Amino acid sequence: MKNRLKVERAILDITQEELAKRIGVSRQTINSIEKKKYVPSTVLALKLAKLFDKPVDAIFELEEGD
Amino acid sequence: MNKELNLVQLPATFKRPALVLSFLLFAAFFMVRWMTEGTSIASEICSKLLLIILLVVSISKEYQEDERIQSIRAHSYSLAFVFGVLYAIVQPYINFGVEAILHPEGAIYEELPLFVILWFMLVVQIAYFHMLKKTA
Repeated sequence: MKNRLKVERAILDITQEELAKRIGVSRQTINSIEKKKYVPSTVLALKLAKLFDKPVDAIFELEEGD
Repeated sequence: MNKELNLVQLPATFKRPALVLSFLLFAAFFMVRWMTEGTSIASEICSKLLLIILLVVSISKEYQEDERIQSIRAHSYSLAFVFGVLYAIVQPYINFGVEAILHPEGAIYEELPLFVILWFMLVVQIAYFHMLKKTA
């Protein structure tokens, strides 16, 4: 699954650590999502979307094979 | 489901002391086995304590327990279960084969003790969990 987490984070000018704190996960989890190693749950995806004030599908996008 | 998981998990503060204690107990177990040349009450106590301490390490939370960690933990338990079953089936035959090569006249087939299987499963779970935590 593709995601625009890094881009959205850059727009808000926040670090992985800050983002992790705001949504209550570890920095490693944010890093894993950005590197596409971990696909977040619906709850976490919704929390991220709310924080970036965008719909979920503007941040996460299905890839071929998903 | 997280509520049920929380009921069987210990605080993160248990993890490090339990890990250190498990290494000490592991060394003590082999020392006792070596000194008594086989099973004894002391080695039985050491092996049971080792299982309890490894279980404490296994069920202790991380300092930041989030959904990724829970997912990794679930993966590590399923892998440990599969490997544990395979180990319990295959290892006795390997032991028998090695014994047959080394002592052809006295080789006997023996099932693995429960302690060894449980120890193996817990070690696989803990090791795989830490490996995944670093890489996944």
